[in-house]
Amino acid sequence: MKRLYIGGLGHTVSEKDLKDRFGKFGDVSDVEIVTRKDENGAPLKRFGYININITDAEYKRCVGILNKSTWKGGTLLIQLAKESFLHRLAEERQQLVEKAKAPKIIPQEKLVDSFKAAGVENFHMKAAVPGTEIPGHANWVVSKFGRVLPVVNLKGKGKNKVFKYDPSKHCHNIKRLETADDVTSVSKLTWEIKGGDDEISKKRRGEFPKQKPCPKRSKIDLSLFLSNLAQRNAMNAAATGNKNKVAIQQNGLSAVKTGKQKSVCVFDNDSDSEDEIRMLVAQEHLRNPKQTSTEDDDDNLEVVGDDFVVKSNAFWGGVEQDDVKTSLLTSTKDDEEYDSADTDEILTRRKTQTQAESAPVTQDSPTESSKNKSSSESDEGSDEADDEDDVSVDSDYEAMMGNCYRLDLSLADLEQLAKKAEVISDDESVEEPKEEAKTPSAPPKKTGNNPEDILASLLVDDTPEKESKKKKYQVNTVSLPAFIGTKDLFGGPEPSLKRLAPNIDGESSKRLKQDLKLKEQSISEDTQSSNRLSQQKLSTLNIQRGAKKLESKASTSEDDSSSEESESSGDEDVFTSKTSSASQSVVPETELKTVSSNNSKTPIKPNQTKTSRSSSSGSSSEESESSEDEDSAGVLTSKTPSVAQSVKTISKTQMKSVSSNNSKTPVKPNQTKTSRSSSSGSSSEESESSEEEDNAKVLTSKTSLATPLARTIPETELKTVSTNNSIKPKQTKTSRSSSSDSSSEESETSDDENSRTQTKDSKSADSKSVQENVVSHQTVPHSTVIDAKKQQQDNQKRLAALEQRQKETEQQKKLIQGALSNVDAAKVNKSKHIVFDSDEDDEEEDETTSRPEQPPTNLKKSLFEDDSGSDEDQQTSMLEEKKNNKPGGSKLFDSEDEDDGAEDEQFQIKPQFEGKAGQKLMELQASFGTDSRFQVDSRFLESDAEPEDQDEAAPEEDADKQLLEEKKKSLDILQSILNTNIQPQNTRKGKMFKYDDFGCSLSMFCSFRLFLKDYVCFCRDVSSLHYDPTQEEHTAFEAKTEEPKKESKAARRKKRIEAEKLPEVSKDVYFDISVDLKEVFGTSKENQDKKETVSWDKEAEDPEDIMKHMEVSFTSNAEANEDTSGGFKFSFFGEDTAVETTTKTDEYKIETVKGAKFSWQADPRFQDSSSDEEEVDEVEEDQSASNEITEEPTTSKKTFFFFYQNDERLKEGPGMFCRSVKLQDQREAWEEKRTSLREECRKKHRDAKRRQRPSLKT
Amino acid sequence: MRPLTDEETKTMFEKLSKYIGENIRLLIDRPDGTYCFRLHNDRVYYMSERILKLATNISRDKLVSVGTCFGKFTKTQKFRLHITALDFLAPYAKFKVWVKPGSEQSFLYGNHIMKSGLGRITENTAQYQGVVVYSMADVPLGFGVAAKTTQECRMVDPMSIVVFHQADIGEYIRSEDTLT
Repeated sequence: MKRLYIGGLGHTVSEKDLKDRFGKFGDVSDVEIVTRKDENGAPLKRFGYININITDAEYKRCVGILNKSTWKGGTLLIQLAKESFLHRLAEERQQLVEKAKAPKIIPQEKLVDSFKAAGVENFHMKAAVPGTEIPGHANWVVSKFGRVLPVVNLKGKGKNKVFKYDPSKHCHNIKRLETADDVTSVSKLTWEIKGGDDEISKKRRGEFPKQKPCPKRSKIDLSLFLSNLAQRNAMNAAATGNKNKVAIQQNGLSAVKTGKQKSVCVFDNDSDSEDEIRMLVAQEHLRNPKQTSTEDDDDNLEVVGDDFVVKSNAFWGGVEQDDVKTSLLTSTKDDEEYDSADTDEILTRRKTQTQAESAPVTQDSPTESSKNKSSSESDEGSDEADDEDDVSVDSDYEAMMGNCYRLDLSLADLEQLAKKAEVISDDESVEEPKEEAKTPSAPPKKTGNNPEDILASLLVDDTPEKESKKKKYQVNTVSLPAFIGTKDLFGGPEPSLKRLAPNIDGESSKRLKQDLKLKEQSISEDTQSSNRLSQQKLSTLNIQRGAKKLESKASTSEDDSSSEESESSGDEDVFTSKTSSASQSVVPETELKTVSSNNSKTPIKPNQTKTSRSSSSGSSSEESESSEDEDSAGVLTSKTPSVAQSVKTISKTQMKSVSSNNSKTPVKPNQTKTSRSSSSGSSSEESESSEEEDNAKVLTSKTSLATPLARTIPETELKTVSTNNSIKPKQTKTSRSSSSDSSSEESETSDDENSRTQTKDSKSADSKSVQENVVSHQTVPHSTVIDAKKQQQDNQKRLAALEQRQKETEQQKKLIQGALSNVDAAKVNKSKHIVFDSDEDDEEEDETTSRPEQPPTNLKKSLFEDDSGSDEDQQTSMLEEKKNNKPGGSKLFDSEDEDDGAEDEQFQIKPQFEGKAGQKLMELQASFGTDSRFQVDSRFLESDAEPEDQDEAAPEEDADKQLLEEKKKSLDILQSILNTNIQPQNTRKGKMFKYDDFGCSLSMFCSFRLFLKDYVCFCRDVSSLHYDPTQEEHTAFEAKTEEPKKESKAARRKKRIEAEKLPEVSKDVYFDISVDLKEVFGTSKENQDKKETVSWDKEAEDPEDIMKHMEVSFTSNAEANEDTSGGFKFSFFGEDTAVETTTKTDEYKIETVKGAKFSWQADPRFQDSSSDEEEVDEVEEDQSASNEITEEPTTSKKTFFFFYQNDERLKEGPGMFCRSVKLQDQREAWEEKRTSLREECRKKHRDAKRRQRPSLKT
Repeated sequence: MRPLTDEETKTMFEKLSKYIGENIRLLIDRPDGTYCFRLHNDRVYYMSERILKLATNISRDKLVSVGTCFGKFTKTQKFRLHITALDFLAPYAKFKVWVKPGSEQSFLYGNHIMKSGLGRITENTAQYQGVVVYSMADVPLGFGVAAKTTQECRMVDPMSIVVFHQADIGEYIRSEDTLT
């Protein structure tokens, strides 16, 4: 079947025509005519296709016939045409179907099959040499190991290069891979480890043991715990509980922490609730209250205030006194729990106990009760005495003593002592000494005891015991109110007291010293050896303190007594007559003394006027008993019964007080020379000794009575003393003389008495130590028996103490001997004591020198006369003592003198009032320090002194001036650094303003205080040019003796400087010492006054000056100060003139002098200066203004610490707390502002960002 | 030996005032005599007038030390306190720090004081305030500078430094040959 194209058909030819035409040649199946038309539709040509089943021959014939033939208007063109596409498509599809139907042939199999044909099996041809071609396969080659490999054409890297790779040619490169038969499949790898049960394997397996469950915290039942707590609290002392709490609070770190740490043992750490923690802490504290404090210390950070004071004051001598004071106080407070309680309370406690115990005992037998009380009370008495001493200590004293070492005894110790004593009292008298000795008794150093309280407590104790005592007590009670304080004394009506005050102080200090010594002796002698030791230490340490106390108490009566003493000494000559008077006088005094062994507080002094000696004895010993004794004394011979009473009373009194007091006085009556006995009592001070004396007398008169007494008195030593006393009748004369001496130095007199007895009796040694006991035994057989046992026991314990005491006793002996030699024409004795002799000579010299009025022939004055010499004599005596310090003196004596001398120095000031000569003397001494040589010289060379000094001072002055300037400069710099106003303390200007209005009382008080302070200063200055506060008190005078030259030089230098500067100061300045005083002690008020005066003066005097002041810089002010200060220093010399001209100022002069020397009280002063300057400025500013203006600021400045009166701040302040605008308004305003603020903020933010961007770019 | 110039005095006082504040006045203006500062070999000595006079007898090159050495001026004219000044700082010190016994030794070997060794401190101690260091028995051990305020001291961890060491009495042994 062919497809023919027929072209050139005419328009009229139809398909049928075609069919018919070509039908002749074959079968025509399909005719298709196509007409081509132009745009207009007019047919251009016409052609058609026909499918015809024609053979080739027919096709040829057809073409031959019909081709190019014209048919119906067109010429036919016949051609073979391509098969129609539809036909073709159908044919292709048919072919595909046919292909799919045909079976597929795999080439690999084909290959394998073909290879098989060629003898190749599994691509291996055996026994074929490599390189052989496989037949039928061109590209296959046999290679190594007979493998059949294809030859590969590889395209090289180059463009069209093709490499032919024939494996047969590289067959050496081919290795045969071993077949791994043991290869383990992945599934057979170790996927699990199987192990034992041990830990490691388990852990290897990843099995970890289960965490043990935390032990559950045991929850505490709160209520139960609280109940527990309460119980414990009840058991523990409240004090401890408080302490703990305080400690907890104080700990800087939270208490919670500590609680946790401590509670670990009991509870888990996890305690969270605060309550629980707190409870834990409390519990812990309860358990170990003591440990807590230390632990807290360790665990926690402690924060202390600025005022925290370092404990070890002694370590730093330079510590400020205030600090020391506080530290002392605190330390004592902190000592123990007991300390927290008032000593009063403790005392009362103790007493109640003692009462309970003693009450029944007393009923049993008088002797026993007496024993008990004696033992217990002796302890108490000593303690109390000490307490009282402390009480007497006032702030001044503390300031003074701050640097001294102190023995701190806890009240607990005391209590222990007391208890022990009580126990012992129950026991036999023999046992007492031992136990007492065992008890470590330390003298209590407790401040803040009220002496009155103590007395009251004592009274309470004693009252139930014996009615006879009641009398005494009544007397005591009466006397008590008299002892109020130093202020009262000063406040007293007597204006003269002021002047006397210094004198009194000196005396009192002396007495105190003596008392202390006596105490020491008595105490040491007492069975309580331990007490002795401690007290001795204390006494030595505190001698100065004692002196101070005395000063503070400044008993005017003592002055009287001193003056009176001389008289009394004269009276003593008449033994009997005075005894009565003495006893009377003694009564009040003794009472006082009972209160405090020292009893320098002699409010009763008026009584003493009669019996100075008795007073002395009273002071040393004591009291109510003495009154009783007085009664007995009244009947000298007939006293035996009275003696018995006295004995009883003594026993009682012992219980109360040191007991030494009582016995003395009663003994005296027995002795015809009561005065003597009193003196002896004073010397020994041990009531016990007096008691023993009584006993001795009793022995003579009533031995029976004596024996019980002896038993009652466990302290044998006292007895020995008493024995000595009993011997006194012989000594009475000597004692008298000694008593006269005693006026000068009471202690000496007492010693003298003892020594007399000793010397005469050849028992001097005994009085000192154990030997005394032997003597006592001899004299009093009864007592000796009993005493022997006690003494033996006691002796062992005392031995140590005795050694210490021996020195003192020796000194006393010497003194006594010396005194005796003088009195009794004991030139023999003189030879023994070189020192004392020299003293006497000195005294004489001093007298002559000090009192030009008296004829130089006074040298031969009897001691008695000297005593009568009143205050002046005392001064002289003091001077003498100083001179005694000369190297010639024996060591022991010197040591005593030192103590005395220190106190005596105070007295130097006194003479001023007495006379011009005295004043000068004092000044000179003060200026030169204690150098004896210079003092003497000054007296003689009054006229020469000044010019000399000036001459010598000239070269040195430069250096000193430079130093001063340097100091000023440095102070200025310091000022600038600190921005505070600091003024050199040394610049003690007697300001130029006069003070006419000086409150009498105020001035007195001030003067007294000033005196005290000055005294302290004085001591320091004298004793040490180097800064060692702890030593000065004791060694003050040693230093002088050793290095008189240095001090003298220094003093001289100072003097010179002062002298040089003196001329600069106008006299006006000088006489206004009162200003100085006020400055020193002045309150703010005074300062104000001053300011006012300043401003007024300046205005009134010279406004021009004020202008000048304006120009003057601050430094200039300092200079001015310097000038004034310099002027002040010379006050000694200046004063002379001043004194001459104006007697009025005498009183204050002393203070000024001292003030000049010691500058550290100057604090108020620099306020002054600053204020002055301010004032000046104000004046300048307001010059034009009236005075009122100037006044205003001063008045307004009335300070209430922080504010003025009418302080503006106070007015403005409250306004700050009120809302000035309505809340609504405020809110609105805030809203407005808020928006603006927000914008502002955004803007800034934007700006900042913008700024940041460039910075980032760069 | 010469007195200090104003500048020197100022620097020294500024240093001293860090420890004892206005108590310097008590050193200059003493009641028991005239005392002064002297410069010798760049060191400042504090001595009494008497010693000063005595010292004039000794030539400068032979003079090793007079009075108490307070410290020395460095080449840059700063003042450095020496341990020898402790005797005068301790009694007047305003701010104190107490060191626990356990860390005393550490401090005496020249180490700073850690919080753990701090036993007690004066309240209101400012940062960089000069403090005197005491043992718990109140024995002055040296001085230093507070690294933290008292408040901070409470918070910080135990190993942080609380006081910077400046001088301790161990220096008497450690720098025996340089101390005068």
